[in-house]
Amino acid sequence: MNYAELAIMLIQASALVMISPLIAGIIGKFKALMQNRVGASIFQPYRDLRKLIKKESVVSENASFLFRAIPLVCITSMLLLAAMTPFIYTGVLAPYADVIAMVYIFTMFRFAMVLGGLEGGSAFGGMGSSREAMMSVLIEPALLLSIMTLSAITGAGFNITDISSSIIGAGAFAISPALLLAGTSFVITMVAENTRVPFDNPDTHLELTMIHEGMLMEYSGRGLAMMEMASMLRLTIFMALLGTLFFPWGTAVTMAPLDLAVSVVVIIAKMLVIAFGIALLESTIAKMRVFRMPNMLTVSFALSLMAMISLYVL
Amino acid sequence: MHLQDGALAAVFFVAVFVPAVAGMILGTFSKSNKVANVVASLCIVSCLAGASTYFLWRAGVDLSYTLPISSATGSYMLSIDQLSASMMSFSSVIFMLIVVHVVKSTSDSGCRYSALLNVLFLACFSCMAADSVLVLLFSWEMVTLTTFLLSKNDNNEKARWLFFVIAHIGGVLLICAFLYISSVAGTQVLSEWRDLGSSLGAGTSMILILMIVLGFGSKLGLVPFHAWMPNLYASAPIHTTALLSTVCSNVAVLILIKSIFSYIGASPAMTWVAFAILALAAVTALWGAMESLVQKEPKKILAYSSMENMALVVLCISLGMIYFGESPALAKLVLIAAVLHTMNHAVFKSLMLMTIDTVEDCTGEKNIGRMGGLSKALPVLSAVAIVGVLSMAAIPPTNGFVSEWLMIQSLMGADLESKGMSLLMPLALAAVGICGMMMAASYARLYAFVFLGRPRSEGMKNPRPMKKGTILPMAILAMLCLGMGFFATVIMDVISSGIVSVTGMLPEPGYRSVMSGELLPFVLGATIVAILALLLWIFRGEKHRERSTRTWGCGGRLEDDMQYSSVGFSQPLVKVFHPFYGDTAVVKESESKDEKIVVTEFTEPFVKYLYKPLSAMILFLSEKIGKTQTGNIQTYFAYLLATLVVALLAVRLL
Repeated sequence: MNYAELAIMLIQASALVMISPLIAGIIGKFKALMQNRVGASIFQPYRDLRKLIKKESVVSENASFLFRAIPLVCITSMLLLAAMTPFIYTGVLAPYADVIAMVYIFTMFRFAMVLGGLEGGSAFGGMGSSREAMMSVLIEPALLLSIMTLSAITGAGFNITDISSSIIGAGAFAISPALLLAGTSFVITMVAENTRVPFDNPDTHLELTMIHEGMLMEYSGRGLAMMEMASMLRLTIFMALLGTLFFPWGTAVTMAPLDLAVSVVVIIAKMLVIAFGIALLESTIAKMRVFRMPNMLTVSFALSLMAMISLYVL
Repeated sequence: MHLQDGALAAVFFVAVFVPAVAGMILGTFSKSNKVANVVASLCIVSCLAGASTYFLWRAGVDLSYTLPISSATGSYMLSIDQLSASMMSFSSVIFMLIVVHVVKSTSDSGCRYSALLNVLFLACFSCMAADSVLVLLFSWEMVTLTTFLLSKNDNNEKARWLFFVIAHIGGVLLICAFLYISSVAGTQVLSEWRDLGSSLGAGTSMILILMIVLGFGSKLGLVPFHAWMPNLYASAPIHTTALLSTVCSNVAVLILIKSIFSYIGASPAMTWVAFAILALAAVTALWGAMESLVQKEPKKILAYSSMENMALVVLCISLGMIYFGESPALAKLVLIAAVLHTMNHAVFKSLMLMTIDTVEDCTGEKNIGRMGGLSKALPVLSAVAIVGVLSMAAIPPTNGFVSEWLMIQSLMGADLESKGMSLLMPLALAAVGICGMMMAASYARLYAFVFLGRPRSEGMKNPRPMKKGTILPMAILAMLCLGMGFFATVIMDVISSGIVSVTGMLPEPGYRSVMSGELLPFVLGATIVAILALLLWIFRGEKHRERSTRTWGCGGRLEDDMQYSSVGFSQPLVKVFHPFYGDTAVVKESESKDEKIVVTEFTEPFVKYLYKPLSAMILFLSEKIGKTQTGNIQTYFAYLLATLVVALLAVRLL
């Protein structure tokens, strides 16, 4: 690994972190346009974060030391993932970049969130945590299976760089039923994991159907800023994974400047398409009832299982 | 290097056995409870001697020793091979920490209890070191009996006896299997049993393996033998449970691995039984995970968690059988996962049991529905507990994460010749994934409803302070949870050499050759620590403004019960998986006319639909048989005559 490569990896990891509020802003803007509104600027999430960091935090008197540690843990886990997500170049910074670790770091994030929701003993947080626990039991296995399918299709092992570059290397031959099934399952997982419509509505507070926002109820000030940042980063990481692991064509495998330039353009296009898709989904579909969600999540789980099985059958 | 009956062996076994025997005798015959601590310290001395097997293993020494007693069936032999040595030293350390906790936490444990601890240590140690069938079976029986005696507590006769009966069903299976193998092998020296599968025949071997797995499974809690676990865990003294769940499980897993891979020897012809065991283990793991979500007592949650963890270990062992013929390196990997997970389980489970015992001791509450908010009053305990919970939930970089990583890796590594069988691998992977997440939800519930939120009862508001020194073993275990995660690769190499020596696999290719990813728990852990430190450093400068208020309650004042309950927390999951919970009926009890109490109760379907009808049938049959016993001597003569006629006819006709 030479210094230029290291620099590219560093740049892509930090780019991923830096643009994540922008992605959230863009999705918001898309939604606003679809609903015939002007909408806030795409840079609004940055301003929100700056404001939150400056504000004082209000901490429940029942909260323990974990309450202050949880935002740190959440942001840490997302930074760990940002370091292992290919973005413009298939190589990644983290030496621990294998897919099992990835799934378990997502679990780490969730676990911290669930505990955080139960701090302070408010009913809203508990409700959010309880539902998050229900969803995670169905989402995480689907995530695990779809990513494992990817590793099995390529036969490249668990290393994220290897997976993505071997799919690119295979070209159109890599498009198999397994990849499509796993990709579809991953899309559902992405929407569910990031608690977007139709699973949850990220714009509401104080609705009895909420999940993610419920767990954030007690946070304010800097803690809330970190939690919001972690959530936005999570969405960006999922989008980047969809664009560079499941449909990685265009991502630079080599360090050639032309490849990198193409890759930047391609990834921007991919991110915009995915953002548009999410916005379209959120503007056209209503939120599901809580107990309809398991059906959808089971579909995702079944798809990923079928993807895995199709590898052996076909 | 192999040392036979040398002075070293004699000194070693004397050092292990003499203090424990002395403790046993002293504890049994002493009348005063004051010697209890002396008796327990003798046990600790024995544990320390047992832990010194670590050096044997480091030096690569196999030790064997013939006891200076013998009987008509031959002499009694002990031997310590590489795998046993690592398991023994590890189990001794866990045993010692639990005994330290006994001494520190119970002021009046009584010297009988301490004496029994000595016996249990002797039994476990000699079971792991057994080199004769009789020593093995005798000490395994001693383990069962001692734990049965140790679990005596107020009002738990039923739970104890259920354990006793189920453990003995397993015991009978083991005795039959081992004595049969012994008769075929022609020797009762275990170290001379090598790959007997070929002389036993594939069919017989499969039956024997199944008997042995079920035999040990009765202790490990495989479905349907798990019925004793929740009630015994909830009612027995905590240290008994901790020993049963950790050290006894270690013994069972060790002997299980040795029996399958060394004594009988797995071969591709036995794949079908391996798949049967795989299915049983997967069902057990899912069952444990699901039931743990609805338990009302923290100890019962831990009981089902033990069941799930041990099922994963058995699952790994069955995978090892499947891989054994095809890819030795993969078999090595999966057996390393099994042994490592057993060890990890011993660490975090004993830690959590001690924590929950401390909670119950300090607050006098047993019901998780009335707990909560303890981390304010007992911050140190809650810090220790969070390490244990993270480790149980397999969150990186704790030790639980490493063994789950290895399990998933070994499931994914399958490249089997038979396509039909490979189809089961994704299903097994899905099962491991689902029960991993369910257990994580269950552990989050366990921690959050004990330590977080607001106190739900008086005992929780003003708990008694922790007993002095009880934090010491817990802190050591918490450090082990983290340390074994960070340095897992070192431990894996150790276990690998043990497995190679026991199973007779070639050292090459090593288990690393089949790993499709690099396991770098240390790098991962160090990165986490570095990022956390960096974040803290970024935020170090300005004094952060912070205000403390009441939890927001929509403008009203929140009462103690106005927060999410532990039953409510798992309710969505119960609703999703409702067919598996059996009769989750809402029981309505009306004690007075004006009042109706609504209780949600989960009955274990195995107890209701299997054990209750079974025991009813046995009682019915014994009543019928009882009627034939009239006490009249003429009737008995008639029976004798009838038996004689039938026997003669049978001899003549067959």
